[in-house]
Amino acid sequence: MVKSLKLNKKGESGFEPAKKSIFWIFAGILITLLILAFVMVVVSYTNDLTSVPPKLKAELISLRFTNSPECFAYQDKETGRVYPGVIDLDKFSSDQLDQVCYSPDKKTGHYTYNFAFELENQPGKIIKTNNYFYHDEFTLSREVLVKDKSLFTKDVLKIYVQIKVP
Amino acid sequence: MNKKAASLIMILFEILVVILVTFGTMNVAYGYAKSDSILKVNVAEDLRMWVDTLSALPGDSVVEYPKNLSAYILSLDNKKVMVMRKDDPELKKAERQFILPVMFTAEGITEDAARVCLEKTKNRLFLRECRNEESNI
Repeated sequence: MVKSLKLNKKGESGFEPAKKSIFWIFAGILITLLILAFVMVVVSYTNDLTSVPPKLKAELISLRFTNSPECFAYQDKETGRVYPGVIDLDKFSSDQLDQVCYSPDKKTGHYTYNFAFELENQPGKIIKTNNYFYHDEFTLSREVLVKDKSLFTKDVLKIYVQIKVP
Repeated sequence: MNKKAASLIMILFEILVVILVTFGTMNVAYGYAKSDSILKVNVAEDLRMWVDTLSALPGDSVVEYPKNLSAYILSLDNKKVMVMRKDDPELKKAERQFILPVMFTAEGITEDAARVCLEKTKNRLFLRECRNEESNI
């Protein structure tokens, strides 16, 4: 037979404040967590309002690789005319990327976009930016013409995009 | 103190806590709704994308931002673009970084400019107030 424990009046009056204290400890923790959760919801909402799709950012940054003579675009030496969408094979190198075209900071560059490039008709020849670590998020493709000496051939430029490596 | 008085004080204390928590969360929500931090971030992102696009294209161009930015100070240099109000603390400034090709330079600062233009001339990007003749660009 189980005997139920009953507190006498003195015991009960001593238990009341303790009960309240324990309640308010848990309530305090819960209220703090609720406020933190509320702030996180608001911050997350503002981040959603200001976010830009990574593919769009990558597309805009990668425009320079096929359109700018500082990167791979062919530029006629006599007339100075730039041919967007035409890749000069002489410029298609990691040195051109590092020295002129796109060079993230060597120490912190892994926090930003990095790229690797491959021409479909020249598999195996991959050139990459200085903080590219084969941690691709997605791949962009561009139809290009490739100028090799005086020969122009149709090709596809694959751009492997690495957004961030923590 | 008798039991009734103690429980009355506890009830008042609990009501006070509820009022304080409600006031606090309403304050946070109102602060976010009132602030223009989202607008500043969007302008900074737009300008960053403009810099990336213009530095990629051959030739010269001028583009105008399609919004009145007279309330803000915009600053552009070789590494970043910043959008802020005059008295903004560091935390409230919106800043976006970019990487320019090596031979490019970017500069410019606008204040109280209703119409802001980004101009590309050869390898130079310049943020300035739009001229009167540059309408409907």
